[in-house]
Amino acid sequence: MKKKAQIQSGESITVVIIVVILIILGLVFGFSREQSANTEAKAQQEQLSAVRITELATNLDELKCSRYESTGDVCIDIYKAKALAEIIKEDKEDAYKNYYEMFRNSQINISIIYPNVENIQIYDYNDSINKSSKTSFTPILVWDPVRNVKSFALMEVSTYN
Amino acid sequence: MGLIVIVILITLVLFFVLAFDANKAQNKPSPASFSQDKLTGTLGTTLLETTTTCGRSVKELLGDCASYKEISCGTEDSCTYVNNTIVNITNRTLAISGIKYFINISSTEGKTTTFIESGCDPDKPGNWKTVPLTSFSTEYGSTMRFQLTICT
Repeated sequence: MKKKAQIQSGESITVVIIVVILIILGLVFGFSREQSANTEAKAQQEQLSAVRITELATNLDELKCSRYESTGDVCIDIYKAKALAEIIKEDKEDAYKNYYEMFRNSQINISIIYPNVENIQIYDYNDSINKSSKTSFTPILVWDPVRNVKSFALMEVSTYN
Repeated sequence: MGLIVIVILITLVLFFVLAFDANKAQNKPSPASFSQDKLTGTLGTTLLETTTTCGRSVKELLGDCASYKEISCGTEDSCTYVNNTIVNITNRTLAISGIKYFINISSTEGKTTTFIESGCDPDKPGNWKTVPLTSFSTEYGSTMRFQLTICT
């Protein structure tokens, strides 16, 4: 009788130990899934932030083509882009304050690929501790209204948050 | 006995949770796909409007290539020239980003004007993602189609 009670008690302890191990495994698994989901959510947020900034930049009156009959493409006037880049570069105080509300910690470049090759840095500001960034590329047309040439370019947006 | 049943039930629940979670993870679009979609989504329409060093747009040269072939750019005819131009641009955008693709440009009469493939064999069906078709009219009155397909 005593032996039977001992065996039953042993079985119960074994089962309890197995249940505890299963619960611990479940918690560890849940925690690692949470970490993975957070990393993915952060990456997605960065991408969406880059998309938002691209949409804002390509719709700025200071950049977009004034006369081009758009067929739905994004068109940037090259002279406006160079002028804006110059203004932001020279007037670091007020210009950055003005555009920081829209673009936050990011870098916006227009990289002309064809028929000529040229790079115009529109904006670059980062006051966060995060120095690494992911870049998103959007094809745009860069129009020279004087020579009536539409160049193929990429708007490169990198966000630091 | 009752405790053993509980253990079995907990194990079964964990198993189903794992299986469901793995399936859910497979179907979720990756953040990288947003970036790729931005690059490939408007590439066709932007490319067509680009002015070439020949002084004509890519669209004009494609239209000529599909019809009368009157335009020549230096020593090259419009077909060769526009094909090289598209390869030049896509190499510096898609290929350099590691994207495998093929491009099919054809007229509505079914004639293929240009076909460009990079790292992707259209004869071997695989995991393809077709970017929405771009249709455009040429000055010669015909309608053409630009189709970009990404291979993953």
